[in-house]
Amino acid sequence: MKIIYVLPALFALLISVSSCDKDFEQINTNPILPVDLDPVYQFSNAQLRSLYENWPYEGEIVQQINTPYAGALEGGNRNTVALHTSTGFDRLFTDPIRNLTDIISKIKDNPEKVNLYNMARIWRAYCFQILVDTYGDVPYTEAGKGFLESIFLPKYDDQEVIYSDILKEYEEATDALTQGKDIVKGDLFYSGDIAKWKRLGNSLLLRAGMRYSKIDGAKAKLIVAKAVDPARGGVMASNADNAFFQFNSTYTNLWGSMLNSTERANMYLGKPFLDFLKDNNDPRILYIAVLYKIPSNTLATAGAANTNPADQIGMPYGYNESTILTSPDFPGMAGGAFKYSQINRATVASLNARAYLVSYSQTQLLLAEARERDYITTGTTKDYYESGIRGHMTQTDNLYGASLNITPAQQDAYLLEPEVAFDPARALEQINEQYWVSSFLIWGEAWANFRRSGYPQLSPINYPGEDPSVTAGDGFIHRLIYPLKEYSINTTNVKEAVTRMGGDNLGVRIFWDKL
Amino acid sequence: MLLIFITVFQAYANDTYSQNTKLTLNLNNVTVANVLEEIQNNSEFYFLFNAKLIDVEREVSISMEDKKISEILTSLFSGTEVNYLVYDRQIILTPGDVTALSATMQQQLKITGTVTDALTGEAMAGVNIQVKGTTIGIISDVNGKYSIPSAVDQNAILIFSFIGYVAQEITVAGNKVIDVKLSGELTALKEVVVTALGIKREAKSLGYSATSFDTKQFATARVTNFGGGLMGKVAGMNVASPPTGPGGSTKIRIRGQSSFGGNNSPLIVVNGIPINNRPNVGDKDADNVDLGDGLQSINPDDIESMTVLKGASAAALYGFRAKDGVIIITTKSGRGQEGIGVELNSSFQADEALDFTDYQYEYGQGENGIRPLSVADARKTGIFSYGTKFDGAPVWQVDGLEHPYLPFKDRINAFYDTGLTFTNSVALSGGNDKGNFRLSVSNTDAKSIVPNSKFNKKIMDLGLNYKLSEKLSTQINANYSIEDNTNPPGVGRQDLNVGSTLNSLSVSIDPRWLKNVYKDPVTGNEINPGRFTARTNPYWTVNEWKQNNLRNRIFGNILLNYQFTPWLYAQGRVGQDFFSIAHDVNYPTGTAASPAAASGFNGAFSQDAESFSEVNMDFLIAANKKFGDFGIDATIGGNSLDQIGQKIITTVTNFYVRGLYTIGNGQIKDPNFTYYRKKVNSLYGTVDFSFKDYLFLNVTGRNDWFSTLNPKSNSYLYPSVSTSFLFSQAFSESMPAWMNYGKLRAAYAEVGGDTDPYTQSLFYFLNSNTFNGVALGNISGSISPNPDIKPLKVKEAEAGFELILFDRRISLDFTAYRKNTIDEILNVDISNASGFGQTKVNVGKLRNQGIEALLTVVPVRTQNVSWESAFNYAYNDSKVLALSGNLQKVDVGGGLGGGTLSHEVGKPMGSITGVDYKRDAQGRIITANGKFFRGNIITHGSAIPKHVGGWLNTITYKGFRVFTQIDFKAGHKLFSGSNSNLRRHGLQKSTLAGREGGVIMDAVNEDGTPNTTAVEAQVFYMDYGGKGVITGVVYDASFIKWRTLSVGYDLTRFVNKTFIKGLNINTFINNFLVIKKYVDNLDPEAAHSVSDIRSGLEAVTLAPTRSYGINVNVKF
Repeated sequence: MKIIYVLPALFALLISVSSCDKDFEQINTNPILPVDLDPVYQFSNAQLRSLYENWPYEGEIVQQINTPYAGALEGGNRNTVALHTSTGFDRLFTDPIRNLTDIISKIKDNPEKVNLYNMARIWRAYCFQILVDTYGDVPYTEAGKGFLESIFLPKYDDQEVIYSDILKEYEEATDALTQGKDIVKGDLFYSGDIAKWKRLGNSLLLRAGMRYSKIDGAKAKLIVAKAVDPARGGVMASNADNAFFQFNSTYTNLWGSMLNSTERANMYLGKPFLDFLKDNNDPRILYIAVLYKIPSNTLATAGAANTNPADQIGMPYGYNESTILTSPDFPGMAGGAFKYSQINRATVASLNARAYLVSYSQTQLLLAEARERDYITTGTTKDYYESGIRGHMTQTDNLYGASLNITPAQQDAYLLEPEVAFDPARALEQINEQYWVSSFLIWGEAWANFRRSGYPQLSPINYPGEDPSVTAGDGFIHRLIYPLKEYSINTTNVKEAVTRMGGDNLGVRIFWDKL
Repeated sequence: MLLIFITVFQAYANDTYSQNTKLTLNLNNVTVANVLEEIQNNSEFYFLFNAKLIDVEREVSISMEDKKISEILTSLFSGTEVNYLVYDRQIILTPGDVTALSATMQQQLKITGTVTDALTGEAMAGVNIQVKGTTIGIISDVNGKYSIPSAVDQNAILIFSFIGYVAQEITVAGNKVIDVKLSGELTALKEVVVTALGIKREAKSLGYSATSFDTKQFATARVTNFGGGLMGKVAGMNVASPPTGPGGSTKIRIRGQSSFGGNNSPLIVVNGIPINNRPNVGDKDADNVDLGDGLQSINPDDIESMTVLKGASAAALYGFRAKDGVIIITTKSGRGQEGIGVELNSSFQADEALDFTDYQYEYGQGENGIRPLSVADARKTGIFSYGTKFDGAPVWQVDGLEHPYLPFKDRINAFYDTGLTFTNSVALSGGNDKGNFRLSVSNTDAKSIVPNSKFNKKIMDLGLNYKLSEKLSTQINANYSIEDNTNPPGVGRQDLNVGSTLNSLSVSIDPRWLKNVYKDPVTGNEINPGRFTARTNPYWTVNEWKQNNLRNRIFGNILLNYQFTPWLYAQGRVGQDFFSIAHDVNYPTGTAASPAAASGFNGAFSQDAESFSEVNMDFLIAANKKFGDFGIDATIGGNSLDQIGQKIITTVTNFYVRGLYTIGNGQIKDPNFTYYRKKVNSLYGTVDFSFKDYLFLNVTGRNDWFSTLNPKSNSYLYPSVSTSFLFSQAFSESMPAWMNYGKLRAAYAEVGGDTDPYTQSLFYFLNSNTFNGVALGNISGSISPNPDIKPLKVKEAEAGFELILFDRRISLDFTAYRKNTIDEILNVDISNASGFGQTKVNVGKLRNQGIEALLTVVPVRTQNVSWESAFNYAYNDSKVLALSGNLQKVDVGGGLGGGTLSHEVGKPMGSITGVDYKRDAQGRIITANGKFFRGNIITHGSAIPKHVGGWLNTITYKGFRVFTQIDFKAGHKLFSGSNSNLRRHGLQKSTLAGREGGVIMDAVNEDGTPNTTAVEAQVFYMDYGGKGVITGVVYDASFIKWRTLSVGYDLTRFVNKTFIKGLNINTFINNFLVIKKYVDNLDPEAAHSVSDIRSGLEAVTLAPTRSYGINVNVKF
């Protein structure tokens, strides 16, 4: 009987005494993942992850690589809107930018990490430059702050404003790098070498400054002057300054792994690029072009690799897998693949090939153009131009063994080729043609420079069924479109940007590309 | 008369209950009837007497402490004419003087007979047969035979009674043999249902919908995962078994889905303790296979009863995990077994792959109108049917030979084997007056329809009950299973999926041609049939892709019960579900889709060891009391749940030695360890009030504390209230005779839920491998953590009625419900520009409402034949009422080939969305140069069926039992990834348009003029892939299927003279026939995953199967 009174008391006791959520905070802390991490590890990863697969548009728009196929491979080969338009957007924001934003917020007031902080700023600006160059307006001031500030649907900023801030970041952060402060050992480019980082920052500033050449020469001149100012550390002075990743058997080269596996029978060298190499007897062709006996096999079983320059033939643009069979000079089939030249899977597209992001060669060629445009007054256009070419020819030093190195004699011979030998009357064209070659596999930059300079003078591919916005313009893709997810989720903000830009299609031009 | 007593006692010497049960009574100034009722309520005794002959209104006072029933009754009836007889739990009260009876005995007869169940025809043991108005009584034996030991008056009336059956009075009328058929009683009145926490309650008192299963139905027509056998059987329960192999999972949903997330599976409770029913599907592409769920560990032969608690009210006591309902399984014990009993069950089943393909068979292999001109061509175009018209001319083929250019239509049978499953189980049970046990062992051997794919499971189940003392008893249940999955088939992926390649193989290829050429004899690498390397040669897949998954699992519990007094007990219970999984899988060296290795050999291998444990500790204190017409039943309790999961997984890529798949032989090693732990503590209480056995009210409350949520908002108290009113009993006087039973019920409840651990703060991780010696760190995961998550809530109201009419010929159970989910915890898509793809938030509001009805009709019920026809139907209407902030749409899952599953405000849950053609303002498709463009994302409709039901018929004729089931689902859509590929590859019939002269799409140009440009057929159809347009491959997924036909025969009567006590043979066909469907080339139930975020996103599974089986059950 008494139990009936005891029970409620017991119940009350249980509630008060048992403290039903004791230890819960400890239980809900993941014991195997760090809640804090030295940001240098994030920085290394952010560097590596800023590289992404950009051949389906960028490499095809500049007509260096090609495929006749649709489906997952479709993009710049057909001038259509297909699956890969959002790769850069999705990758850069969710990987390097979020980590760099996190690093910056964590160490911005830490004087012990001044160099890491400023390298993160430079690299974050680099990522945003790619985004603006690709899409135009993108989220900037509110980007990467999903966790930090709970901004889940960031607003888009005006591309010109973003660019101004990128310039400021390159400049300020480069200047703030300090010898004798923290050494960023985890830096994948230079193991924290401050002088080299300053030259990288300035080379990026030069690259960004040159973007203004088409719309505002005076502004370009101002920026370029800052970039090359020796007092600020100067730009890249040799191939030792190149920013690249040395891939290995664990972390393999992105293009190398694709071309060595799933896409080995599907990707070919573009005809304009290959012809340019061939026509000018370019010794680099040996590194680049190949005809495998059985292209659809793995490298080990692909049979003889014919690298004889005379036999190489590039795939023309504007065809699909059906119409290409009747295209002029169709070379025929090699098993299930086409007999067009492919990128050499043992050299530039090997699994452990280097991937360059910013090179001495590109920098020299930019200086050549800057000199030609009188943005700078030191040196000669010809010298910059030639050292740019030599720089690219030697940047893969000893990578593929001595037999494949391009000798100084070969370099000299190439510089005497009629179309290559410096001709002041064709200076801009020649410089940017070489920039195009030097940017082989650095396709985002090749595309940006092609839009800015108008060189090389490629022919529109006029693919039947290409996107009307391309046809309505000059026949080239000038911009990629925003991810569908943005329309689905971040609707208001993306629409505001689209209105500001006057559309979201492949024909809209980035501000520095305006006619 | 004394003689009779002795006879009875001798025949049933194990009359231990009355000997062992001691009662305490303390009643003052109450009627005898009250005392008897008190005894009935506090014990298992029940009284039989004629109220006209026994004075039960007499007032008494009684005070007995710990006395046997005989002592109590002696005291109660001392000084009266009343005699009593105790047969185990049954007590018969008879009036007066025994000798007075004999005076009336004239023309006396000896009577014998057999009692059988009117519905099943089975003999009924233990039926009480009483001579009306006397103390003479006897109980039927095991074979249903009885014999009245003394002669009775030929005008005497015999009363045949048995719990759960309608008592029958039969006048002897001079007959010496009286055979009786007893009909099952209004089970609704007596039926006891196991409800939450294992509390048994009378079904009539429940204010919510609870459905008990006829376990016979799935024990006879077997499926390897018994979850699949639940299909179509319960109104409001939506069951699907994706064709993913014999070791696969089952998807069960009750009343729609209560959340936007992937797993809205009901809680499975076995013997009072929840078990883990998580489907074990790979989290990486490399192992996208279905390795089964928790129900795989249960042997249907071990199940004694199964109850489905559909609504939140029923489940409120289980708290957060019961938001999707509860399936309560009670396993068999040795209860009722005399001595040792043995039961054997053997079944054999053959699975036949079903072919639903309906391809075009006019144009054969090739691309762009050209047939293969060489072997290389053949191996490049083997997955394309864009060749020329068939003409029978020799053509190069994938096998390196020339074959006539002709269609091949039997790809399914050419590739798949017949699946074979053998299941044997043996159960041993026994008992004595102290307790009982049951031990069963079963073995299932299943060979999939896919070559080299096997599944074996062994299940051992033990149940023990023991009375440690008068008041203390214990119960122990343990279920141990070993589940061994060898090479489970890949599903829902492109590579290494035999279904995917088989599906899109050109219409002129006999798949067997690939058999001898799957491997290059020189290089050892795969020879794949097309230029899409991700379409793996199916023989490469079955011969080279190796996967083992071994799960050892034990779950069970130990319970101690202490009976303080007949009306008060306390109980403590500890239960654990523990399993470990050893798993390994390779990615074969030389697979065409495999990335190249810088040196050595490509491919990958991963090995993992996982363990999971969930410990539940709970206690209950329960009391019940009756005060006159009022009764009260109260329980309080608490539970502590502790879940720990851990997994170590090591993946290696590229090898030094070819063909050796070990971690040591791997070049790049990537070891990972994952761990999670969560706890939930709970306190709860429940009170039942009853009035006169026809009005019931139940109130519950539960408070959960969740470790996974912010301490500021981690506690949630939720109530439930339900009521039941038996108007047929309340107004029994005025009810028409055809109204056997009528009940109204209503309930309201809330339950809450939490989320995964570690989602509130940001964690980091480091890659396993350094980059040239530099460590790479990253923010962990792509979901932005949110520290402010509070518990989600499900609020559900339901009302319903149950009717049994016309002598139980018609019964109807009807429920209407509305279930609102608020503050759902969901990972919602956010802009990638935020740095994260998703964030976890409490979102919006979701509503499910609908009705459930079960109509059972018995058109025939005669001596030899009975026919029961049951129709169950449920309608569920879901609606997304609000999402987070001004969010209008969230995407939760993607399919192979472009379909997306989204939730959109104002629409039903689970919308299939995808890219449409670009259209003009008038809705006309816009083309340029004859080709269409990517247009807007449009919504095609919900993937969740609105209508789900089944029609079940059981016919018995003598020993035969025929069972059929037809079931249906309707009102939902399916995005078919397979058809998307069939359209691209030129196999779908629709691709015949434009084969000659090109496709001229019915569309307009940008300027509004009609399109007149023809596009070459392959170029046109391949464009669907590149553009990702899914319009045209989203189907109405409705279907009607004749699911099961089984015929059984009870041979017991032929063998019951021997030591065999029962023999049953049953044959069955599962997945008998598709009566109606709308999806091209596929079974409309094709799905590769049981997850709700993959609902309606078909992505190439195995061929579905039809099973033929036979099942033999022997009892000794």
